[in-house]
Amino acid sequence: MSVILGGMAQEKNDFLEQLKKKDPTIMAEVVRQHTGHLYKACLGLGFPEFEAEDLVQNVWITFFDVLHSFEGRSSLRTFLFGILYNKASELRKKQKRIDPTEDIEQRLDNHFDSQGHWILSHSPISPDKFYESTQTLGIIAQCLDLLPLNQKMAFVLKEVQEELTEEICRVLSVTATNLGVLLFRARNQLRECVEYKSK
Amino acid sequence: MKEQNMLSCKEVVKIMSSEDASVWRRRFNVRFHLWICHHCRKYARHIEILKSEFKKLFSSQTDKVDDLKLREVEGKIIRRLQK
Repeated sequence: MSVILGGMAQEKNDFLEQLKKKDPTIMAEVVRQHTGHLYKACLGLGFPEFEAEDLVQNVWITFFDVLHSFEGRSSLRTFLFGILYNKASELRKKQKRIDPTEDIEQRLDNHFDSQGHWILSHSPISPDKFYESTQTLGIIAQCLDLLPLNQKMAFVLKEVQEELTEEICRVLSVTATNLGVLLFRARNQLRECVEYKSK
Repeated sequence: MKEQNMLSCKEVVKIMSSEDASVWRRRFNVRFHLWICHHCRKYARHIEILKSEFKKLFSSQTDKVDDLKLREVEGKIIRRLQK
């Protein structure tokens, strides 16, 4: 068993070494392996095609710039998604997109009385009506677009791509508790947004 | 059941939106609360609907990406990197 595992680890190291030496065949192989996934994730995050293409290209350029510091502790894919997250944040900052200022925690608090029970006029609408609202053309994408990038990325990686908590934490460089907070905010903002549009 | 084991709606909402459904569905006090509270049951459905509708949106977006387009993007990147 240890021989097999040792062999696999060796193979992985060789691969990484060749990649670090920028062996053209290996480089092309790695690009072909991961580009589709990165590109689709950009679209899922709401970037239009032309931006998605630029973003992915920049991710790869940075990837080969910083590859020497990659120790192989996380998977290549996680490493790439971490770079994607940074590149996407830079791009969003350049576009001066302002995060929604209204505090979701405050808004959520307003739905409950002092004992923590739902206030009737603020209680969740019927699931049928909620579902109907999600079917309004473009609404889902619009609501997602309102989220700050870290919440958006946490939500998309968790709910849509169903990545492991551990991997998502590495990509966003946050603790599991922080990820819980990001998901809490994202889910509640999205729910409020969809519910609001149904009124 | 003792009072301190009872969760309020607000607490249940916080748990359901921070944790994975696979985790909170195993919590007895959350399940008990959902059993008696139809508001929070609705909330739980909202969270489920969000997940499935976002998944649908994502696959409709990525299904549109054809292989030809992807090969083109990959080709550009590879040429750029090997310059």
